[in-house]
Amino acid sequence: MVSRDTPLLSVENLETHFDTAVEPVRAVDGASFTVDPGEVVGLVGESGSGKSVTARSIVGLESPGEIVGGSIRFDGTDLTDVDDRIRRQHRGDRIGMVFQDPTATLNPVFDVGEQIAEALRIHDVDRQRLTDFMHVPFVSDRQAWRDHRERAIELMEQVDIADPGSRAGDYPHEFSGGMAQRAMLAIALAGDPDLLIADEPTTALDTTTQATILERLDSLAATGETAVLLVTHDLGIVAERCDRVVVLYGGQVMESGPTEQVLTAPEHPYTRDLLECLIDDAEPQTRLSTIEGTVPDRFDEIGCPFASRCDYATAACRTSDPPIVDPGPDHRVVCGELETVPDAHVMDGANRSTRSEPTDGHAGSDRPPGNERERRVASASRTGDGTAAILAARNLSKRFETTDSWVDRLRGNRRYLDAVEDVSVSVERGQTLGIVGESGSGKSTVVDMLVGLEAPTSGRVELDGNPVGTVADRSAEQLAKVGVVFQHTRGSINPRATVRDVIAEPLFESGWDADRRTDRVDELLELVDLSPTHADRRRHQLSGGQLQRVAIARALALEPAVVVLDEPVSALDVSNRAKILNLLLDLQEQLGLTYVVVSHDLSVVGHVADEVLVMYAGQVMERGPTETLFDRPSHPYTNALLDAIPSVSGDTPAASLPGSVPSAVDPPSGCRFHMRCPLAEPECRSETPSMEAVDDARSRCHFASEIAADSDDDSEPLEHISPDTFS
Amino acid sequence: MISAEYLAYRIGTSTAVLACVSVLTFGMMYLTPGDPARAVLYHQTGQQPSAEAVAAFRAEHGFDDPFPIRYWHWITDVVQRDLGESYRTGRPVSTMIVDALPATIELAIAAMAVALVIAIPTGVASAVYRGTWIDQASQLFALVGVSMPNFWLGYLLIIVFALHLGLAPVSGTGGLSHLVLPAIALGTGMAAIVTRLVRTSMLDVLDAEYVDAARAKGTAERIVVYKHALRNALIPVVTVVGLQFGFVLNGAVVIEIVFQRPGLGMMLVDAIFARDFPVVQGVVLIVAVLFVVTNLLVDLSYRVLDPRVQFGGEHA
Repeated sequence: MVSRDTPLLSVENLETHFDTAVEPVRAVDGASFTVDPGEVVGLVGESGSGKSVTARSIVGLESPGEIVGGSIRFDGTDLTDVDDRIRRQHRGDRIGMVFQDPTATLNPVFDVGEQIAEALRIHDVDRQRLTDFMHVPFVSDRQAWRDHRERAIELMEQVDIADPGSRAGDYPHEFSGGMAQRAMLAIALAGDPDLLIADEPTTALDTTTQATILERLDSLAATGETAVLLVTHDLGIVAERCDRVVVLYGGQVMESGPTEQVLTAPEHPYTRDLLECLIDDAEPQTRLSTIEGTVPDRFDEIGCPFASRCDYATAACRTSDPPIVDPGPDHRVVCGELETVPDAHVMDGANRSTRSEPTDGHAGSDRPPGNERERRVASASRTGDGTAAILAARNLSKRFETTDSWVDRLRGNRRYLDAVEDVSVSVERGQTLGIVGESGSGKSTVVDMLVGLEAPTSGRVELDGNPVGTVADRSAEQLAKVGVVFQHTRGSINPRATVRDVIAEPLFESGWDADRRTDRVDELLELVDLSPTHADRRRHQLSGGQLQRVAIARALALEPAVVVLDEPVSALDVSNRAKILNLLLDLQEQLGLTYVVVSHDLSVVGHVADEVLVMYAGQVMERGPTETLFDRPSHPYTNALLDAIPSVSGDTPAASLPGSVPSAVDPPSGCRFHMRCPLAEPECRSETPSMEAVDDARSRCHFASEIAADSDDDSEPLEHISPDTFS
Repeated sequence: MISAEYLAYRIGTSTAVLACVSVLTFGMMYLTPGDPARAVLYHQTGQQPSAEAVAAFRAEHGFDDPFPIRYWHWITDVVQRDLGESYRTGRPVSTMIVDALPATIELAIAAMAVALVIAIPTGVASAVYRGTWIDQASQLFALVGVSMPNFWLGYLLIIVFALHLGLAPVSGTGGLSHLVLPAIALGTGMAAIVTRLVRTSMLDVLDAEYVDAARAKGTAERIVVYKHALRNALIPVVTVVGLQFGFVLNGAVVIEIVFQRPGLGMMLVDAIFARDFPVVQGVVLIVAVLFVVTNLLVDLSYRVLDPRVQFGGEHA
């Protein structure tokens, strides 16, 4: 058994390098930290900080990188010093691993039950025979196979997969992201590990699903049997779930210590910068603070890796390795300039906007940090019923037919999926409409109809008051008026085209000649803060943040009045997220743009939007001005989305919303949300609520006004949103 | 699952393809220089036939009818499983094909087996040991294998293994020993192509996150490679192997001549030289049917190999 006195895992001076043609990339460059038995440790940093490689090195999945120095002691064994067989035996058995994208980590050709059963089988056999794992008839042990299958189903039940008996036979593509991540968790837990490494386990998931998965990890650690190393870029998650935090940059530990201490009194400039990037307490529609520059591909061998981006860096920081300082028990900071760094400020939001200097260029750096929202909201009609609406949807519905065969079709056995039902929205010039909801809520279908990629089954889309059809029916002028930034930026950019070609494509399509195209692309690059040198790069040479800028530039090419952005920041780390949100706000001010922003993350929408539409199972649950929704939500679903936002300043961890969005093929009777609603009464099951006005918002709930009144005088459930932020 | 609807659709399109093939084969014979009547009569009698004999032969076989009518006569017979009679021997073409087909199928399957037995392990090893001498050796094999004409390899094998070493018979049919050299001669080219494909496909799959996830479970590398990776890597390979089956039939024609194995190939070549059109048309049509059926089976096998593939539904 694991001894309680010594660390379970002790990583010392770990160095993992990747060989390249030029010189090796030192992805992990002397990182040291420990994880005690039963402890939850957060490993944080931006994309490219080396946190993932560190995690993978521990389980021996560093390839194609190579561990060139240091040690990884796990329960007394140095994993860098044993042969592959011993290392393999630790994997799964002692150390379980959960990866970022659950849909990519399950093997597409085996059913989920088999993949969990396999993990069990590995721990039951001394020697892994290929025939046993391939289920060769007459050779494999059928009884063992059945036993493992049964235990796999039990494990699925333990990680809250509903109806595990039948779901075990489903293939990964039939699982939602959240379910697939649960299945991965079941696999990781099959060997009853002492340490569970979770590498960005919730980045690809909805906020509500994120909370469920994190709660599961929490309860695991709470038993004291399993320690968790949680790799994430989101300090909100760390604040809520971790006992200790290790901040990594340039493959080195910048700061480590108890979560409470590190997050309330951060010492290292990098930790502070990371904290300040959070939307948490920031004034809505103001620039967020960002970290200057980007994570470089290579770091200098000597000196502090953060020196090039640090506000307090001196010549000494660049020429000699920084010392280790211990500001408190178990709290370590690697910085040579702590004296010059102003005293740690308490993260109460007071200092926030004072040190927020625009880092990425010219755009709107003179923007006043003031209360932008008030001014804009005041000038806008609140009801949004749309006389001045630039883009509007009237009673949009979209029904997809899912009848599989024409035989059924002929017989009249048709099956339908109502993706969107009777949605009306409008957005006025210069305003931002946010659409929020979980996967499967229908928000992307609404966007597809707004931009004309799908034809509505009923209802219509209006642009400038005129009804418009799909892209095929829209005039060149109407097409130019609406720019789109698609959800999966990487997938929406041709890998073979240069940035210039990508941005120039809409110009080319509308017949601009080569010279004008070149000029316009140069202009657009400047507008989104990309340097002219980026013009000749291709997709694989760009970071996530840069790709997003390219996508935005492309959307702006034809000077649209409206830009529709589908999950513009969900794939980005905190610092890139802040930069892109700043850019969007700057562009809006500079060009007078109107935005429709779609996201599963209410905090993002809350930061940029004037009006928010909350969607669930194809219907609008609530819509209204952003402050009203945040301060006085009048629908339990809005409440649940608010509660699911992880926050550094909150006392209570983000609450999960059990279950998932119901299938649109067979929607629940009455209120769509009643099955997951904490306040559901019998009438909710039978009577469909209609949209009722509550103050300046509208809500589809039988108890809308009670909920609004409740959230008004009792701020308890919403405490972590800091109501004063919006007052 | 594969729906009856999808099956009906695929059988419909396959039939359309075969209809086109039948028009083309029939048309091609029509355009070929040389009068079959003269060729056949010369072959039968050993001397130049008289004009009357030629005219009589042409009338008897309907050569003087216009093309659409001739085609119509032929195709209506074909769908009733009557491929006509050989001009030379008067035997029904269908009987001739039934006699010759098994030998050719046997050769084609043996060649495919040789190809897969060589290609899969070589391709896998090449990918797993990427950049090592194993990879280089297998790449060299693939290059040589794909560049080598199969008839040349056939003669080489005969010279070395049959004549010098006496390990196998030179030609003819019989037991397994007669099959080994032709199968190797025919299978090597395909082995080379499939090796490269397995290698590329495996390299892709070995990069996938689920392969690392399998390793993270503590799975032995052998099982990671042969269960998790190979199963996925074979999906594109199956397509190419299916398409290659057509080329193997093609190659079988040549190899049957080299090894003097009676089969469809020899039958076809003899028939072409003798302008024995019913036989040529029959053989080409049968090969086309085999080709189309193989492709249909390949497409259907995707459902078994890759659970993500859905047939007939609008939504995956």
